[in-house]
Amino acid sequence: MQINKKEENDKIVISLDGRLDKLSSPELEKEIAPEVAKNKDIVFDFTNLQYISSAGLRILLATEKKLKENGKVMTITNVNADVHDILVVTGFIYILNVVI
Amino acid sequence: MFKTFNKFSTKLFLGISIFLITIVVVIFVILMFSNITLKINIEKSSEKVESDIYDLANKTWYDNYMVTMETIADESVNTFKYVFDSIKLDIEYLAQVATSSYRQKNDIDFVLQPPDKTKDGELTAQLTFEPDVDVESKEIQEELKILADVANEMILDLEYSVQVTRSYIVTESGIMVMVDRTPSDRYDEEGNLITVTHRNKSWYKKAIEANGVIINDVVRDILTGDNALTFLKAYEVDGIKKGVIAFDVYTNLLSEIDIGLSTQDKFDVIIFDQNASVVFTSDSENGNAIEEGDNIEDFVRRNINMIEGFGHVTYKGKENLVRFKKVEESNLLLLVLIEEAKVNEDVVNLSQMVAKKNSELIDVVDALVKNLTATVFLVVIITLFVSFTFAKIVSNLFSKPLDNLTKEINEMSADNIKKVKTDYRSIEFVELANIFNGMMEKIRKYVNNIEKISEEKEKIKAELNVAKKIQQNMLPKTFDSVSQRKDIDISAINLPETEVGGDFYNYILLNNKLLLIIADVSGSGIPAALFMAKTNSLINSAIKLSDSPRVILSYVNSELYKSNDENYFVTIGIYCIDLNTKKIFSANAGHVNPIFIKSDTEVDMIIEKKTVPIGITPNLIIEENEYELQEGDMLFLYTDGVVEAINDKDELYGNKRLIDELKNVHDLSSSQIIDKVVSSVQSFSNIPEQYDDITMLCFKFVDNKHTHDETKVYRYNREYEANYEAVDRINEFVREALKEAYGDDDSRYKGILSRFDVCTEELVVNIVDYAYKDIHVIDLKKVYVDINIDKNNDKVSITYIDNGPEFNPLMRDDPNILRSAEERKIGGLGIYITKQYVDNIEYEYINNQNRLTIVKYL
Repeated sequence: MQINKKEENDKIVISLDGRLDKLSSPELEKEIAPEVAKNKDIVFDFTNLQYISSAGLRILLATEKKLKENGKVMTITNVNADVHDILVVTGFIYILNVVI
Repeated sequence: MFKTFNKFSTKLFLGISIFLITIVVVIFVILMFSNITLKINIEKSSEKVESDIYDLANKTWYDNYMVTMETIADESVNTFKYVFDSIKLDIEYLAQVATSSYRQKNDIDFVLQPPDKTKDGELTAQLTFEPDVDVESKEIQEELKILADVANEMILDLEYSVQVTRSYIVTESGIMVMVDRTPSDRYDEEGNLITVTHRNKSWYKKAIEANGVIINDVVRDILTGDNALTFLKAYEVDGIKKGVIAFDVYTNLLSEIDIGLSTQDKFDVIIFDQNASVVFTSDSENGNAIEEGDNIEDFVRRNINMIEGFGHVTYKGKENLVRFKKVEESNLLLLVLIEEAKVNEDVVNLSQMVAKKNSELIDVVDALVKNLTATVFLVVIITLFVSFTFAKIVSNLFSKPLDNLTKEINEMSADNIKKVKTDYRSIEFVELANIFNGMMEKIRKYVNNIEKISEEKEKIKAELNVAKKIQQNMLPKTFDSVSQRKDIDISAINLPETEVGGDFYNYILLNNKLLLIIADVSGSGIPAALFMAKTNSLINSAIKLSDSPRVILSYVNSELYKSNDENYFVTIGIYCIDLNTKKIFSANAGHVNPIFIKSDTEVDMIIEKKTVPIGITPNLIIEENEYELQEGDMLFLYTDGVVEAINDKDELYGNKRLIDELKNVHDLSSSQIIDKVVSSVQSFSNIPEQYDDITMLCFKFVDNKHTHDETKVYRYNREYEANYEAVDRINEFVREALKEAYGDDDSRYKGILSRFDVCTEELVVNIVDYAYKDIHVIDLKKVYVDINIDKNNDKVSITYIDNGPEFNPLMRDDPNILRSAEERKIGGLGIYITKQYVDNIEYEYINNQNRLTIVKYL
């Protein structure tokens, strides 16, 4: 999985390319930590994310919690059908800020 | 001092204290009882002494008083007797003078004259006559001369007499000469001389008749009113009584007689006359003080004639003791009196004195008892203190080491076994500590041993699991030519009692002939498994020689027999099915009979011609059995573990149940039939342990009328190392299986492949993270995946199997998906997603394996 990070004025855009599973999630976790510390909004661009499992969902949830503590917003954009499916099934679609 | 009441030291302390206190209290009670008894006894004896002394004093005092009164009475009477005697002597002397005057007739100048009133106060002789006397007669004149002589003597005598107030002489001739100091008394108030006739008076007559002096009763002097006692004596001349001489003794003069009583004396002496008149009283101050109600006069009257005696009288209004005695020759009674109260007073005084002494004694005893009690109290308190100290010391002696030991032992734990101190003063505690240390040393060794054994056991278990896999691998693979054929449907199951077993089955396709083999090695466990492996490899060798069950059986038998020192044997059934002719030849060596299923109702257990089990005799006589099947017919093979399964009532599952279970199964696939029988046997045998290996094999000629190209069940299984990388490989396996079942047309499943991927990842990650968390034997850390695709129903079942400890992930509560991100906990999500993604999910724990099956209809 490839992780691209782009820092703009008031937000950080993180684009994921590939599968976010148990194997790849520690890498993402490592990459996100410094971004969260910047105290800016974060936008996840899932255009090229093919797959996500509970391991990935946990990172999203943890990130959302941390940002919210600082009054920042996490947004998820461009989810595909499979990712959307799991967001719906887990109810994350209701608690995360997902832009379709 | 008391930490808890359960402590041994406290119990010991309390025990010793209570024991000592009890002894002290008992001694205390005994001493106090003795004290009280002593006091009571002394009081009792004091009372007795008091009463005895009272009695004794009473008696003694009375006796003493009586003696004293007797003495006083005697002395008083004697005194009076002496006085009376002197008066008597006087009067006898005068009588003598009279007698001699009559004889001698002295011629004297003195002429008797009548009473001369002017001469009061002088002693004078007064001459009077009785009325009938002839004064002038010669005899009278003559006698007057004699009497004048006597009168002189009388005057002289009276001059010196103390008691006698008056003396007089009365003659037979009627003359009376009176000598006293009151001549005027002879005249009455008119100045006339009183003349009295004396000779006819009783006292005169009594005196004339008497021989000596008589004392007449007290009479009241008519003239003076005084009481007078009269002494009388008749005088005689030549034997003829010529007259009487009399002395008047006034009782008031008697009172001056000293009878020797002092005024301090408590006694009174009183003399009464016959009329109970007081003649004399020692109490000269108060005189005769008889009061009204006194009975002393009656007493005197009653006792006037007695010589002497005792009695009680009331006198002066008081009770008196009385001793009385007659005054000799008179009618006088002398009484010695003492107030009883005074007697009693003395007795009472004495009693009081004794009582006082007694009470002083009791006071002394009291003080003594109090002292004693105080001493006892002091001793008790000291003893109690000593007891407590002693108990404390003794309990400390025991409890200190015990406390230390307890503390040290408490501080120990399984991985912190150390030695306790042994430096105690009491040899018992040193021994105890040493024994404890020895014991702990042994425990440490045992723990080490157990750890070692556990490691070994785990190793053995791991090895057994490997052996199991090896054995399972001996069983035919699904992925072979047999399962590709569409005209036959074959399934089998092997459930060993332990990890490895002695049952086995095999099916081998040889030139359009299918060999079915089912066998049961005697015994179970590793030896049976090894024998089974040997048998299996011999069969594999034999089938290269022939497809004839008889030949195969014969070969295997003889080879087994050659090297069977342990005398294992195998029951075996070999069935060779010609898939073209549908004919079956079989050879049966002691195995259970096969069951043929022709229709829903036609289920027959066929009794085959058999030979003995193989491995025990060198040469077998083998007869083959021959059958012919139709399309749709089924052959069901099994081992005795099926029909000999037992329940908790020791009932056998039996042939009948098996046959009944196989009825109405015509539309089921072979695997469904086997599942049906397995669940039937398992529900029958409701006991946890499986007593024998269970093996079943079901063969079915597919009924072409019912089967089309699509009718197919695909079964696959693979084994993976349990790690995250396995997820991708299993995903690939699932794709392969689906592709194989559905060909290139992936439209049926493509849409849900991602879901299968998610399920696989979640379940396998769970296995890696949790099931094998504490298992470190690499051989055990496997994930087995069974894929079952039922194309008839478009049903895909994937079973994930692991060797971890029993854990049912479905028991977890689902996370609440509607919770906000803040509230949501991270975890439990994987299983939740899996549940949501599939149509059915089941968990089983069989043969030490967790089996989680997901079912998805396409």
